[in-house]
Amino acid sequence: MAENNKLLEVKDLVIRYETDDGVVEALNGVSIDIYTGKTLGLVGETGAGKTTLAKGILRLIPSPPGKIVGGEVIYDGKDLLKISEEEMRKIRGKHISMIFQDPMTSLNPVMTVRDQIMEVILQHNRISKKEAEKRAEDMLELVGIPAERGHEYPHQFSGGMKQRVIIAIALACQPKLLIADEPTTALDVTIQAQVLDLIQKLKTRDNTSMLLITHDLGVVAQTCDYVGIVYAGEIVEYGTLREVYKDMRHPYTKGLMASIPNLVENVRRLQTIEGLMPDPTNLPKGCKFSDRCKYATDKCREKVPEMVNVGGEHMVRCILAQQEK
Amino acid sequence: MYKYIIKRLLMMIPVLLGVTFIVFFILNVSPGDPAAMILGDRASAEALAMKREELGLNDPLLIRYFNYIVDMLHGDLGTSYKNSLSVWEQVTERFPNTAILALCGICVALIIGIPTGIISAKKQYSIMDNCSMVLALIGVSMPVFWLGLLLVIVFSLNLGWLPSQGMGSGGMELVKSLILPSITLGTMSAATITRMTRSSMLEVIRQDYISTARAKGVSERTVTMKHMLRNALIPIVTAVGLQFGSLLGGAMLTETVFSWPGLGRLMVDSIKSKDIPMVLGSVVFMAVMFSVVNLAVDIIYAYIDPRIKSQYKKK
Repeated sequence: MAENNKLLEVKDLVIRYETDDGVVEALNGVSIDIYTGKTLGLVGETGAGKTTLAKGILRLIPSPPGKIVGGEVIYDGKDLLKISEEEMRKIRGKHISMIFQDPMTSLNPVMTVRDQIMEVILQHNRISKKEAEKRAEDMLELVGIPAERGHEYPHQFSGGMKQRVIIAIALACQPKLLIADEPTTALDVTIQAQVLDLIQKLKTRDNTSMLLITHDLGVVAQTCDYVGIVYAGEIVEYGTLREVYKDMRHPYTKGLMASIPNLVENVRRLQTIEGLMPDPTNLPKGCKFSDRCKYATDKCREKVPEMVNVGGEHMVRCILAQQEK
Repeated sequence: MYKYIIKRLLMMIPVLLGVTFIVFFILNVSPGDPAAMILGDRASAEALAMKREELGLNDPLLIRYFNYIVDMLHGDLGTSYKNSLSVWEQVTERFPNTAILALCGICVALIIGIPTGIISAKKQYSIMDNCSMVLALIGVSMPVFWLGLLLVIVFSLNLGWLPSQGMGSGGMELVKSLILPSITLGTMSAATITRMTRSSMLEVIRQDYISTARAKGVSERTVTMKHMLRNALIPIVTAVGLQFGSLLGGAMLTETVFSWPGLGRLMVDSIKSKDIPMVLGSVVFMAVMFSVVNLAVDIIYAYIDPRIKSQYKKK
């Protein structure tokens, strides 16, 4: 992919939470690239640091206890971590917007949904209230909600409808990048597909890039161009969808794939990855996955393996994969 | 919504019956003979007996209570034993004085309480937060009359800036005489309101919709006022309503310290002179005020939170 298509570049982002129980190392040097019009899927278990990364890009990490320790987030030639709060506010909602995990709690319960969509429009456009109202109503229609329901409050909507409203808010100013943090996790399966289709449709219309955070490998296969597998605050495998799905190298990725229930074979027990994610206040010194890895050797526990290119854009953080190469 | 209001108004009836009965009963079992208080120590036994008959004191308690309620429904709260004036007239004459003091007191409380609470919540565990929480604790625990006396000593006796007693008539005089009692009344309410604002702000401050609002790129000020405060308002309004209701009932201690001619002092004086109709009348009036304020608070809820409004509609 050509360099000039790079919309956002995260370099070595390190984020920590300083709590009473010690320092939580939520993100340990994550680097990702997002290209114009493309979708990057981030997959990982709960607590792997996916949401932290998403919020870190928008500088929405609650501080205290959160702290961005190091790294860069380059957007439009600027490091978003260095610009003023004032400038950052102009980026949020207009250039980069975000869809949060739980639609039930992500809308302000005491404002009508139209007002909530209008708020972001008025914030970033110099237009009259009437026009903003019109645009908000258009936005509602676009996500499949009749405009006259705009004066209703979030509690009058179902979960799927609320997520549609949130999508309308996120896309109201036609941002360049949409960060979707598990947008379908809290929804019924039947609604999940609808919501994903809607996001896909609108994204294609505006040529919006997307960072899709999920733990659903199926969703990734459907919607993403690139995949990053996140484990304990690190990217362990990264590449195009095809590279990662057809030629997975990291034992953790293999474990994730194996844990998808197979309908064809007759399976009694579901496959799991043994063990739990390491305690983020006390991470292992070497490869973070070594404690759960079937193939781990002493060498794995010595130092954190580097990301290694294994062909194309495919990168893996594993000693074994390097040897195979 | 109207149905709900009417229902609530009807619910006030049993509350008032209960309040009047309890006060009526307590005042009757307390020692002292009203006839003797009216006629004085040197009245003859016949005169006392006649007076008792006239006041209906010889009837059984329940019959007297029934008569009182019937009179009350006719808008007659009885006549004072002390000066033979209509209780209703005296209570309504005093009420505006109490109302203006209550209003100023609650304003002081709001002006101090809400901003302090917001700042405390936003800078949780900061020095500012700790200081205001300690001050709030002091404010809640300090006896009102003591604070009133301290203010009088400093601002009236030592500095001579403000009057220490009574209610000034008209314009500047009135304003001057309001300052010290309002601060005295407001301090305790301010402390309660600060704590309430802080804790309910803390509850919403980490909500997901706050992140949504921030992700829209709106200013922190808008996030705080429009998204946090609006959602934190219900418990705050409740606290303010309760405070205001009790202030409207006449702050007895404050009114006594500052010789404020309000309901609270009227009641204290009446209790001292065992002026039963007067005490009863004031208590009934206070109970009505309190219920009305509570109803107002419940109605305000509906305007703050659409979820409550739709609940009211269902009822």
